[in-house]
Amino acid sequence: MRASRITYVGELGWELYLPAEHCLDVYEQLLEAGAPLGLAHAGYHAMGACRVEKGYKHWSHDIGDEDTPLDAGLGFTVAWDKPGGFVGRDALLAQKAAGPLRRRLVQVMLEDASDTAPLLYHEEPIVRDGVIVGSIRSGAWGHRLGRSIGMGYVSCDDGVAADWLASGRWEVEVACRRHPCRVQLQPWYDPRNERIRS
Amino acid sequence: MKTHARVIVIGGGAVGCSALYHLTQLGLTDVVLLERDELTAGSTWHAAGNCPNFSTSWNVIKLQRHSTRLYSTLAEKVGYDINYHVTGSVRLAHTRDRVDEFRHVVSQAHAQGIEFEMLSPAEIVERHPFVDTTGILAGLYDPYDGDIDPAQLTQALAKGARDAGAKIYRGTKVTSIERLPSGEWRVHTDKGTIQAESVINAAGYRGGEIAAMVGEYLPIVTLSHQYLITEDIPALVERGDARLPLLRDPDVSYYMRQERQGLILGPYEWQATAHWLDRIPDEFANQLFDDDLGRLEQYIEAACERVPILGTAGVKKVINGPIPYAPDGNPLIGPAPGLPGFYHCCAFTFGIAQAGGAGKIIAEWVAHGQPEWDVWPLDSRRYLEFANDKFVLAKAIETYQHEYGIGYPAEERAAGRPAKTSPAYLRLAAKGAKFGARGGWERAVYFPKAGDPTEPEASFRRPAWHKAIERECEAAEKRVAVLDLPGFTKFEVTGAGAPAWLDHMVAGVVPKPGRTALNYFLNDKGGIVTEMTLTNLGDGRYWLISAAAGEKHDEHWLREHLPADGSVRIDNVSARYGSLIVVGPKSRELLSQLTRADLSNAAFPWLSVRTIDIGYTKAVALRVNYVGELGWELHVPVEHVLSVYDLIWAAGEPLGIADYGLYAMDSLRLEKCYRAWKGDLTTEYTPFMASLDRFVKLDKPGGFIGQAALQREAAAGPKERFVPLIVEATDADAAAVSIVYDGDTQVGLVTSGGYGYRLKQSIALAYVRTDLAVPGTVLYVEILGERRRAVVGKEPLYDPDNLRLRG
Ligand SMILES: Cc1cc2nc3c(=O)[nH]c(=O)nc-3n(C[C@H](O)[C@H](O)[C@H](O)COP(=O)(O)OP(=O)(O)OC[C@H]3O[C@@H](n4cnc5c(N)ncnc54)[C@H](O)[C@@H]3O)c2cc1C
Repeated sequence: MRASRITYVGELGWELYLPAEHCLDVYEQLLEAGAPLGLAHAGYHAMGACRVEKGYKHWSHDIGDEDTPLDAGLGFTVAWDKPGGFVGRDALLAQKAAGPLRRRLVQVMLEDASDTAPLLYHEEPIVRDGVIVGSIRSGAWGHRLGRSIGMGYVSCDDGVAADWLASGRWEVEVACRRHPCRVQLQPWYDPRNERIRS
Repeated sequence: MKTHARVIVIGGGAVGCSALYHLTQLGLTDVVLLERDELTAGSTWHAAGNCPNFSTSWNVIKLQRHSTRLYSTLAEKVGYDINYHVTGSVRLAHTRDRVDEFRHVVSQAHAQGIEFEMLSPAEIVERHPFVDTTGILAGLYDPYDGDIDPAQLTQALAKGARDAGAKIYRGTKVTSIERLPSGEWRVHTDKGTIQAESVINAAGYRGGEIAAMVGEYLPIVTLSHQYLITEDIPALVERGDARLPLLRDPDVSYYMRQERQGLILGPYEWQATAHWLDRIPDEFANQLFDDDLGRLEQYIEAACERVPILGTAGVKKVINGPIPYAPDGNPLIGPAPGLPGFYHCCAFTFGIAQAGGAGKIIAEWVAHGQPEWDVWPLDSRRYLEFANDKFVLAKAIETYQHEYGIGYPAEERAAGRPAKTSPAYLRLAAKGAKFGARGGWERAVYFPKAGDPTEPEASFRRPAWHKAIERECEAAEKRVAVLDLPGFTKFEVTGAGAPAWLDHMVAGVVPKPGRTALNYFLNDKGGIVTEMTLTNLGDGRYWLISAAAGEKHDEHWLREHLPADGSVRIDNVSARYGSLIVVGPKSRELLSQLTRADLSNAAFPWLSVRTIDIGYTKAVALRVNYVGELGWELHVPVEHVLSVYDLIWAAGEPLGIADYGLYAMDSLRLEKCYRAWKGDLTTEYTPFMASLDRFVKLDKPGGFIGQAALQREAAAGPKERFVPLIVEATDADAAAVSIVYDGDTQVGLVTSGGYGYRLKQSIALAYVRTDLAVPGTVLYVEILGERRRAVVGKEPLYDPDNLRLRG
């Protein structure tokens, strides 16, 4: 079996890759070992909510062929100088040379902390100082944060920079109503990755 | 130290020295043995030295008999004294099942020329005057049992080897092993480096360490085993030089023998104890573990009751030493796949009794490329990739606890399970299925119903599940039945060179596109290496399907014969596809509801293959089966097995569908005389002996492996032929390795037997002398000590014209 210490939900954890025919046996051993520790089952929706809290991107929702790794904040995954190069390197270098990024993926959190706050699904407009500057790509109720959250791309011709994000009045439009929100580049949950590294 | 040798043996215990000795006997004298300490420093020096012939396995009896024959002449042959007392031995039976086992083994021993005897309680006392036979039903006497001094045995073997030219380097520890581009092995030791064509790993409980040096994992764990030696016992002192026979009381689980004027008592206790689970301490050699008599208390008490003189003397010494165990307690003997020239010969639990036979086998592997005997149950390739430390430990402990258990013809033990499961496993379990593990795969063996008898689960007679099998067979014969059969070994063969290569590998004909055929892979002596269903999928892909347990063995055989030019590619797709077998006269009606494919005889005849849609997937469907009814084998991507199973079941309910298991399958295939790999077909038999003539194309233009040997055999005529026998049995059918008699002459051997529910007859499949292999000939099969009339039949017994298969 191969065990990877990686996570899509932002907690200490491992992903176990094993031959399909051994899954039942290993699964039952996990249940047994986990029972005294309060092991619970979690489904796809819980995973989805956790990954949005952690700002982890989902292919086809948050990243696709219209988004570059730089737009999506995934520049850390790019091995710029690897020998042999890679498909798309020239385009990425050109984007880098063209100055500050004009479109970036940001993390969104509604100010409404009540549990009647609207949920974000996708394509909800993101509004800065009354002007639509982008839209939500994926959203969820963040159960660990107790907030309605999402992520989406926003654009600014002068570059999407931290002070531009910090200075505006931000809202998300849901079903024709605008709701005040906060935006930032880093995830809302455990931004320093302390839980993952614990 | 020499720098080159033909063969290097690593480890100077009884086994390594026997390997070295046998190599020299086969003419390989440029051979070297490397021992990190002194000879015998591992498990050998402290062994009790018992040398039985008894085993419930045909192969192990053969191997041990080779040892005892060798040991009785070795001292004289090599000029080295050995204390070897051939005292004979008595085994005690407390239960009817044990008596049945003894009778079965006595018959096997007779077939090998070993005069085992059944003893009455009175005869037991004649042989062993100190046994109290209260509660004892019978005994078994082995005249050639005895005890040997393990150190002297080892030294004698070493001397014999040295005298023939072998070199032994003691105090020379192997530290790493390297494979050179030339294919040779370079063995690094703390005393320098030496190169050889072949290497034998005979490192005992350190066998796993040596295997790790070449990147292999061997399933071995070290347990501790103890025996105690008493002070002199007055009653034995009085007897002077007379020696008691060895005594084994398997139903209680101990052995006892005379040692000088005292007794040795050695139990296989329930509290089996493992050691060194992380690593073996490097410095451990010539050492023992601390005594732990507490574990043995109940056995000591029982033994004192059985042989009261045991209690008349105190304990002089306790020996508690390391003993290596593979999961089933059998040694690991054979070639390492993917490492040409590298062989294992380790993990012996009875390495003194087995050293002689094991040395012969491994020396033949090295010198001839294959041993004379088919010793598959001891072959190191029987453990598949999944066997890990946890599995080995669980199984080894169970095996140790059952070291003296009864060797039933069919028994499914629980440890180390479930390991591999089909997606339909829980579905079948919810229906109450009983499972057995084959190559780690859980497969249903039968489906009991409320009201069925539950005892006995295992027996030499027809067990409680007789009823369940009868029901399952009836469904297959009259309606429709389904079997979830995960884990078939499957290889996909592709590449420009595939057709010609396959043609050379098999004795028969490579099927045309869309067709499938049973095919036999032979060694160069014509012996049957393996049997596979060879299917031509028609798009340049060929599938080879064989037994789950043979995965490593079969892959090894195929890969070692691959052409060097890369024109043939083999992919092991075993775990990617599950198999659902649908059989019975209503199987077409059932499957037609689930697929748009045309299942008519015109579109999908017997022995053909089609890729058909079923459920939400595609299946490779073969119109073949192992039970002899109209039916299909569906190989579906493993993730679809459950959904397809559910569809089959739902469509089958109105047709009276039933699940069936392996035990029913075995009964059904006996009636069709379909052979089972390693049961009926071994390397000791050729296709002509196995009456598989129709699968041999002797004059194939391109030739095939084994062709020359078969041509010679065809000219001379095979000396034995495979036939079905209809047996006049009562409540016990012929078990594998029952003996066939013509009058009082032994003329053959049963390789599998059981009850046929469709024919309502007891059936045995057997090899018999060719002149007797004529339908109607009256022979006798010995079942549990009694000779039963058995008439040679014409195969297949059931549906002789295969009308049902073609239906
Ligand atoms: C208490 C007890 C009683 C027993 N009684 C019996 C009995 O009555 N009958 C019976 O048949 N069996 C008995 N056995 C089992 C028997 O002792 C073993 O099966 C047998 O000794 C195994 O022999 P071997 O040659 O395979 O292994 P070993 O004797 O362990 O030999 C392996 C050798 O390999 C050497 N080696 C390991 N690593 C290296 C390396 N890296 N380089 C060089 N050399 C290396 C070791 O030093 C060792 O000498 C008993 C065992 C115990 C513990």
